[in-house]
Amino acid sequence: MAQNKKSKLNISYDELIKNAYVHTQSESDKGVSEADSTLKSMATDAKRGQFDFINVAVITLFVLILGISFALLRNTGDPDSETVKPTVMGIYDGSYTSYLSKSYENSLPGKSLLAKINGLFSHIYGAKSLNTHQNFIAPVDEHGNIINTLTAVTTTTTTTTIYTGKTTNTTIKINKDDIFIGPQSNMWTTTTTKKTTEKTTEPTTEETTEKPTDEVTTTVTAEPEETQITTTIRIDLEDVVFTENESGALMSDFVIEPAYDVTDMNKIILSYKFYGETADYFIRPYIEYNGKNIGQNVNPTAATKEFDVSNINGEIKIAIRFIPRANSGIKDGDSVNVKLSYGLGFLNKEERQ
Amino acid sequence: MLYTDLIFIYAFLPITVLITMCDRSTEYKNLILVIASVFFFTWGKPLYICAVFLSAIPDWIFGFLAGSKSRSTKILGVLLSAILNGALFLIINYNFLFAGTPLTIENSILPVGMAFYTVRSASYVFDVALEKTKCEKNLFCFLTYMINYTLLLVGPFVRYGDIRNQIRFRIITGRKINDGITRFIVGLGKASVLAGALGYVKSVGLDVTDMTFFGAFLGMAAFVMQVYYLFSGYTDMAIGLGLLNGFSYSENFLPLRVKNGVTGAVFGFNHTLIKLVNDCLISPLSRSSVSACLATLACSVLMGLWYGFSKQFVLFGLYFGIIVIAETLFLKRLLNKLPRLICGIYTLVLIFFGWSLVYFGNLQDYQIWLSGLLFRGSGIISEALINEILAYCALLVFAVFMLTPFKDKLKSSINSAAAKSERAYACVRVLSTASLLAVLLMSTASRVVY
Repeated sequence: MAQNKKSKLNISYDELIKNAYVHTQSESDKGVSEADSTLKSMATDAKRGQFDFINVAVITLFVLILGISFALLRNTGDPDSETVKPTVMGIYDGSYTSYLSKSYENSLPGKSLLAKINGLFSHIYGAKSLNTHQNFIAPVDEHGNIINTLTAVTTTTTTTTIYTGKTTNTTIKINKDDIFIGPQSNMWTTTTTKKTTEKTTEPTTEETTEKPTDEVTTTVTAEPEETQITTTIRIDLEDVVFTENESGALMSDFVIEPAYDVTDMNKIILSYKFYGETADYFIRPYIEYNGKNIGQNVNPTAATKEFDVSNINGEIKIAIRFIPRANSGIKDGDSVNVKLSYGLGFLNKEERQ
Repeated sequence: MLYTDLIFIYAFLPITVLITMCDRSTEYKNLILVIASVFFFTWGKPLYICAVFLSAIPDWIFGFLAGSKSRSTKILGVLLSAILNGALFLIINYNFLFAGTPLTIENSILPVGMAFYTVRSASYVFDVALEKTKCEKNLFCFLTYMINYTLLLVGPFVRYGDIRNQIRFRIITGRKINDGITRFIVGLGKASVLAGALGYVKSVGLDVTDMTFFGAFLGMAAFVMQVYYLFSGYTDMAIGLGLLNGFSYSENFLPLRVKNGVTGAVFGFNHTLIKLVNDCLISPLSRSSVSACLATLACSVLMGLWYGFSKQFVLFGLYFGIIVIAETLFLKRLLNKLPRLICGIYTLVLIFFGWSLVYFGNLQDYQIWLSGLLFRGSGIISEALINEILAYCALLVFAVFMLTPFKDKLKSSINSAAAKSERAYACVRVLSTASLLAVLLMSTASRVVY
C-alpha cells in the first residue's frame, strides 16, 4: 500500500512536476507572446509616431520659415504706402493695428513666386477658361524677359484708389474673408435712402483719326496677365450721383488708375476677377477710352472679355460700374471696399493678321 | 484678426504656441491664452471692444447668485445675466437699432464672435442655476473660459462644464499638436479654398441680371455648401487651435444622415449651440406635446434672429422649425419606410429652399431666382458660369464628394490600408503631410496674390 502510495505519490509528483513545468512553460510562452505583441505594437506606434512627428516637423518648419521670411524680408517698393505712426487715438479706434495688418500683407516678399504657385494650383483644380488667348504672344527681349511696352500714366503695382467725396468714418469692408464669421456679419441692414436720379448723357460716337501710312507703328502686344494688378478700391458714396437705367437700377461709374496710352490698337482684352460679396451691390468692370465707355462686361465676378476696336489711339482706363442692389441699404455717405484683380491685353492690327 | 489672416497664421499663431510651450504649468498656459486672446480680439478693432470683456466679471458674480440655494436668488442671477448679455448682444450686433441714440457706435465694426460670446456668458449662469456645473470661484479660470481666442469666432459652443477640468489641468502632448495642426489646416482649406471657390460659382450663378436655370440651381447649391464649409472650416480651425493649446472640444458638425431627414441636418449644423438651446429652453418648456411644439417654434425663430436680424431670418427659422415639428410628429415614420434615395432628395430639396430664403435681400430678386429655376430666366446656362465651373471643377467635385457618405468609406478604407503595414502607413502619412502643405500653400498664395 505504502509502495503503491509511494508510486502513486511518485507518479503524482512526476506528473505534478511535469504539469507544473508544462504549466510554467505555457504561462511563460503566453507571457512572452503577450510581451512580444506589446513590444511589437509599441514599436509600431513608435514608428508611426515618427511619421506623425515628421508631419508636425515639416509643417512647423514650413510655417516658421515663411513666418520668419515674411517678418524679415519686407518688400518696401509700394509707392502708395503711407506710414502711420502709433497714436493713442489710432490704437483706440483700431486704425493703427489695421494699418499694421495691411502693411504686413502688402509688403510680403516673393509675391510673384506665390502668384506662380497659385497659377500652378489653378491648373490642378480647374480647367482653362473658354476664352483662351493662345494667339497672343508676348514680345521678349534678348534675355527672354517679356517687354511690356505699355506706357502707364501712373505706375503703381498695388494701389488703393480713393475717390472724390468726403472721407467718412463709416467704412464697411466687404471681403471674402469677412463673410459668415459669425451670425449677421454678412448681412448689412440699414435704412435705405434712394437718391435723386439724373438722366445719363449718351456717349457720342468716337471719331478715329487715320494715322499717316509712313508712320512707324509700335507693336504692342500683351497678355492680360502681364499687366495684372490687384487693387483695393475704396468707393466713397458721399455726394455721388447715381443714374437710373430702364429697369430702375441705380448706378455710378468710377475710373481706376493707372491709365494706358495706346497706339493703333484693334483689340483690347480685359481679364478681371472681383473679390467680394455681391449681396449688396454689383460691380461691372468696363473699358474707358478717352473718357468714354467702349464696352462692358455683364459678369460680376470674373471674366475675360475681348473688345473689338478700330485703330484707337489714346488713353485706356479700366472703370467700374457700381450698382447697389435694391433694398441693400447702401446709402449716401457709406463707403465700400472693393478688391479687384485685373489685367489688360492689347493687340494691334499687325498682330491680328 | 481672423484665423485666415496671414498675420495670424505666420506671426500670431507660431509665436503664441511657442510661448505657451515654454512652461508646462496650466496656470502659465492660461495666462498666455488670456493675454493672447485680448491681443487677438482688439487687433484691428477698436480698443473699447476690450471693455466688453469686462462684462465677464458681472457674469462671474451672477454665477454666485445662480449657485445659491435660494430659488429666488437663482432666478435673479439668471435674469440679470440674461438682461446684461441680451443688451450687449443687441448693442454690439444690431447697433443700427440704436441709430440716433447715445448707444450708437460710430465706427462700423464687424461683430465677430460677439453672438457666441454673449450666449457663452449667459450659458454659464444658466448651467450653474440648473446645477449642471459648479459655480467658479476663481476669476482667472473663468476669464480663461470667457476670453479664449480659440472660442471667439464661431463654434463649437463650449459650455463651462465641458472644459472646467481642462482649465485647471491640461497637458499639450505630441499627438495633440499633430492633430491640432492637421485640424487647423483642414479647416483653413475648407474656409478659404473650398468656400472661396463655391463663393465664385454662387456669385455668378445667382446674378439676378443674368439668371439662368443652371445658374439658379448650381448657384444656390454652391451658396448652401459655401455656408457649410465656412462654418465647418472655422469650427475645425477652432478645434485645432484648442488642441494646440491643450484643450479638447466637442464636435460641432455632425455628418448628414439622410434617414434623419431635415431634423438630422438641423441638429447636425452647429450642433453644440442647438444642444444648448434644447437643454436650456426647449426641454424645460416642453411639458406637453403642444408646449414642446410651441417651444420649438419659438426657439427656431429666436435662432433665426440670432443669425440675422431681418424678416428673412425669421422666415428661415420658422421654415426649419415647422419642418422639424412635422418630422417629429408624423413624417419620421414615413421617412423610415422610404428608400434612402428618396429620403436624400427630400432632405436636400428642403435644405436648398430653406437657405434660399436668406440669400436674397428682397422679394423681387427671389422671384427672379424662382423664375430662373422654372426655366423662365435668361437661358439654360451662361458662359460666365461655365467659365467659373471650369476654373474650379476639381475643387467643386471635391467639395460635393466631402459631403457624401463616400468620404467616410474612403477614410475607413485608407485607415485599414494604413494599418496593414508600416510602409503603407508611411505612404499615407507622407501623402497627408504633402496634402496639408499644399492646402497651406494654396491658402497663402491665394491670399497674397488677391
